Amino acid sequence: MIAAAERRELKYWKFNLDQTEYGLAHGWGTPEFDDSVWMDVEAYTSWETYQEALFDYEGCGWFRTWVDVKTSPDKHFVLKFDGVGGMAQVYVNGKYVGGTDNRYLPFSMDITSRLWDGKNLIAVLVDNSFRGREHLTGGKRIEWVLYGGLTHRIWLEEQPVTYISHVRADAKADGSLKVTVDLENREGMSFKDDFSGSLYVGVPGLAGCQGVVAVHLGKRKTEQVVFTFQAEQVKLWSPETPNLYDLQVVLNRGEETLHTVTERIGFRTVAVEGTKLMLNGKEILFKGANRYDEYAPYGICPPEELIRQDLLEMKKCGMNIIRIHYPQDDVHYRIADEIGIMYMIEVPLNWWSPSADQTIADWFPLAAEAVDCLDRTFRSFCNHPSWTVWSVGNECSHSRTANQQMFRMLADRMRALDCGRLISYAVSQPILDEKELDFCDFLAINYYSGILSNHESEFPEQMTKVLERKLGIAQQFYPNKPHVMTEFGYVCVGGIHGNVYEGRYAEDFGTTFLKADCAEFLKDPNLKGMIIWCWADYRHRRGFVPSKTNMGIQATYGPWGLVTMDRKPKQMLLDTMREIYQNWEIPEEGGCQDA
Amino acid sequence: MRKMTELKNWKFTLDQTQYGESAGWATPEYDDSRWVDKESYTCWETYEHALRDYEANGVFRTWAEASGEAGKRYVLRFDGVGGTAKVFVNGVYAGGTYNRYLPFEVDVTEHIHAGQNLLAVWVDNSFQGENHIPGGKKVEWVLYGGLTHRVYFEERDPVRIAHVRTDAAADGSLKVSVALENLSAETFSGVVSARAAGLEMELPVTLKAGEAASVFLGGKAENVRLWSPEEPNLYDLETTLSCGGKTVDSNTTRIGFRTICVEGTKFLLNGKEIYLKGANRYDEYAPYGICPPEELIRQDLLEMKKCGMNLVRTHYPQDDVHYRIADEIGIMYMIEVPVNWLYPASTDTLEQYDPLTQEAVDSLDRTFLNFCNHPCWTVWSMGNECGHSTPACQKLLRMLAQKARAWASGRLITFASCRDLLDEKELDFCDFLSINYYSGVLSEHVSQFPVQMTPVLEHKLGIARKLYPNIPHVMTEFGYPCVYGMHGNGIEGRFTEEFGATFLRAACDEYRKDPNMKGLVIWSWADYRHRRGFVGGGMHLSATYGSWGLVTSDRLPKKTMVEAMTEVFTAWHPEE
Repeated sequence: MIAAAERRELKYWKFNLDQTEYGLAHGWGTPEFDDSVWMDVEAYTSWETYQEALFDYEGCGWFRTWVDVKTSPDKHFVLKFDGVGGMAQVYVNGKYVGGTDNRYLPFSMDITSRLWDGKNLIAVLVDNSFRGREHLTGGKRIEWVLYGGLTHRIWLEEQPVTYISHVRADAKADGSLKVTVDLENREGMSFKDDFSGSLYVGVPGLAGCQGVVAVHLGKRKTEQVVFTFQAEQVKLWSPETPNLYDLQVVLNRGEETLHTVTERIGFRTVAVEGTKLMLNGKEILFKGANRYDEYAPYGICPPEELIRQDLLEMKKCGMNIIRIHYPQDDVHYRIADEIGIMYMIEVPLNWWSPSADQTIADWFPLAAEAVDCLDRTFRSFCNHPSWTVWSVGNECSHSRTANQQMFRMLADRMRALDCGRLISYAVSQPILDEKELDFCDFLAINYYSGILSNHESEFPEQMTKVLERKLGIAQQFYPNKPHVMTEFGYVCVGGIHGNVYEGRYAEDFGTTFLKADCAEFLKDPNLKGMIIWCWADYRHRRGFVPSKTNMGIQATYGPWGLVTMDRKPKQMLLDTMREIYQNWEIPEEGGCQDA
Repeated sequence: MRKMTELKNWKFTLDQTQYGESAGWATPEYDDSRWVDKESYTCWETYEHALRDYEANGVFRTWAEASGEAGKRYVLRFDGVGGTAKVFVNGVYAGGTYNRYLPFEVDVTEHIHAGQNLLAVWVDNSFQGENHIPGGKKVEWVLYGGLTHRVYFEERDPVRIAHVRTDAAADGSLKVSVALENLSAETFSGVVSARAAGLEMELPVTLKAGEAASVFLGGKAENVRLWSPEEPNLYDLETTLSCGGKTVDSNTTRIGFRTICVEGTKFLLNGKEIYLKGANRYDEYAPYGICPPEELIRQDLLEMKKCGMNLVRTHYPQDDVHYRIADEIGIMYMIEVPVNWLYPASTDTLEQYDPLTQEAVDSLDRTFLNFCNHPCWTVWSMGNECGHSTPACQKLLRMLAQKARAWASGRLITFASCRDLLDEKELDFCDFLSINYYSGVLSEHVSQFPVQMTPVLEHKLGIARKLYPNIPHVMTEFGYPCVYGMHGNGIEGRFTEEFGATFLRAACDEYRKDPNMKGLVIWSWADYRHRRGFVGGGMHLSATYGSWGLVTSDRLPKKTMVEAMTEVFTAWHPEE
């Protein structure tokens, strides 16, 4: 009998590099292989941090660990990865049991049939190489470091044969709650293969949200059970008041509790009304920053407490939203739910520029991967109230046929999920007409006004002209949608100072630039959001050197942050953005506001 | 006499767009109070993560006090600098350098006034292109930027000793050349005297106003204790310029008596056969860039000695501190003219490689003038891994070798070749053959190791022996990249220390079978960072880090590797 799923974290591993892919053929995945001299490492960590020699390593590495298991006909053993630093192949006692080609999302596998009583070997082959533009992210280059290794938590979970495989909660600002529960009866070694029992759903402390139904599942059957509730006197979730509730889902067989799943939920509704962004019926402005999950010196694996502090610092800077180029570890959304900050999550289609004569059919693996990524992002993170915006991609050649087909397919799929999130796409190329971005709930614009050129002497007069034209076009084609600057920013080096706007990389120059930039944005009546690039400096992936821009600094580091990679504040910049965000309020509309 | 002030404290900012010069950043009026405070003898790469790979301009400003007394000369002396440099005094351009590897001086007298003077230095550490030293389309090592060496402000009398240069041989003979300078308006008459190792030498001298001249002294010391890596005996040479019994200027130079030569296929140091055993070593030392504290350099070189080494090879001249320590603790240096990875087409002429040629010659001359008194410096290499068979390279290397010999430098001359040897003439300017060779390590086919290594090496060394049978051969580069802390069984795991140790033992066994082999200089002593944009052939690790060291860049020993090389070096001696 298993009351709640019992799980243990697999933390301690033996590690070796395997650039030449020698290990697989030489038994590195088998229990017989002697790994006693291998390096001891812990999950979750990035291998880039093990030794400076691995700073830029892109290749294969092996991890091995042992787990002590007591098998039982009533139990299934599932190996769960919260994510992994690369493509992965997993071996249990020398047998291949599954893997992933997607570094950004959780994945799991049922390994019951490969386990025996006593010590079992789990071996993971991770490959963090760049896979080429026919795979996600679709670009010829990737800007961010593809941190390698066991970069997320790994769990061995014991589950009952019949179990709750997924819970989706749609909790809205009107108090409505729809809970969709997926059940599965796996073929067990037990002969009682048909399952009869009951499913309970409830939210402690919230009246009107409780129910129980009888369920019957045949052998190897799945079933979906939907509950709809109307909560009374619910406290809504918002960045200012991040109220959360526990949703409990319990599978019973008679008196016996078989499986319990608890999901944390928040009631909120995000919507667009005309040119307004609305949260829980009130207009809001998006004020935020782009943020990679990198945090020096931990790579993408900082301690949870540091992530929390970091997001709280963003809130202190007046921010209410974080935009990310790819799905990140669940820990981020969990913290964001708790402290009250929204997330804009992107399908990792980035710098994807098909040629003009191509269609989506020419991009088969990429398109399939994008769809799979979208589905799994939803399945993995759908219950987080903090996740309010979904982007179908970033800075691609959006006007081309293949792009249009892809983005519309993804947006349709998102809408079909009825996901309760706004949908957008971060555009950097010129906008050509009023149709190409009509699938977006709001217009998301990435624009660096002149900063990537070397003409600082012409600043800020030139900036005004350029921005007026850019925003004018957006205004002309999309006058009835909200506009959000999803990227803008300035590069400067922490601690470098100069006078006024002298010195390209001085914080002082950056401050002057950002003030002027934001002042221009704010002239656009449709502007309802500013999301700076970016919160923190970050490392570039090896081989990333921007062409033409001739930026002395850019080779391996993006100093675009308001704080450094190790979170030293660039105080002047931080103060400037705080002031801008705090002083930017929703304009009053002469008495029309709802009382 | 002279007053030397080290200029340690500076104001710093970046100037990638070269905006500062036109905006008055060099002038005393400019307010730099908001700039960040930095000390010289540091690399800007270490100031912030953001600057890890910065290659462009940075500006440093400081103030220097001048007495303003009549007739004084004022000179800025840089022991080296992290890039090309332009020096401004009180807003006026006063001089600079194109050469990051060597000390330089700027006479700033005409720009100085009594009291506080503003000094501003623009440093540019960007890659200069293949027509400048170190040649080649890429530079492997990081071009650390900023005031990476010590900087001095010197107030001098107009009559002075400019340089003292010595040649001290194992037979006790000592030749001293004293360069003198009279920048006053009057004729100077006096006496130059020099004493060392019981020798006392003296010469009267007369210098007209504005004249510079050298005087030569010489003698033979009795019962002199020679310098060698085992017994690094040093002497102080005291040189004095006096007038009517009054000292005008004086200079102390540390010297060591030693003679290195080649006899047939043998190296002789002070008449005894030696093998050259050592490692290549960049001046980089994490986390200090190329500016580690002197004490760490000393400890590091001592660790090399403990590993059985007696020689350090460097791709370019390094800060004098290295040679000073090497003199003291007894380890030899092989210094290279920074000409590296230059591969002209067979139809190219050397004239197409201007100003590289002039810069190489200038570097060679100045390397000699700056470091010739160091007994540790025993080998001089004309370059590294170039297309040596091409007409342009042949011309360049022969010109450099001729120059080096003209200095009668008391050093062996060579060139580190990596390309196939084609005939018995192309490297006949070398006193010994230097071979860089990585037997199969750069390919992916490690599974065929070590079986494949033997025939490959036999072939390579066989050609060398056939074409150059009458001179010593030295492996100036060979090695294996592995990652500290990465361990495996036997030869499993390409980057494990065990694989590396097995590889090195097997390679050295092969080298030592060659009867002409008289030196092994491993690549490299320590891991090092690669310059931005450097991506090595197919090695996933190579992008920004060269893990070829026996120790890491922050000097953690790869014990298995260090043990292997210690064993190889300590067991390998010339027959008595």
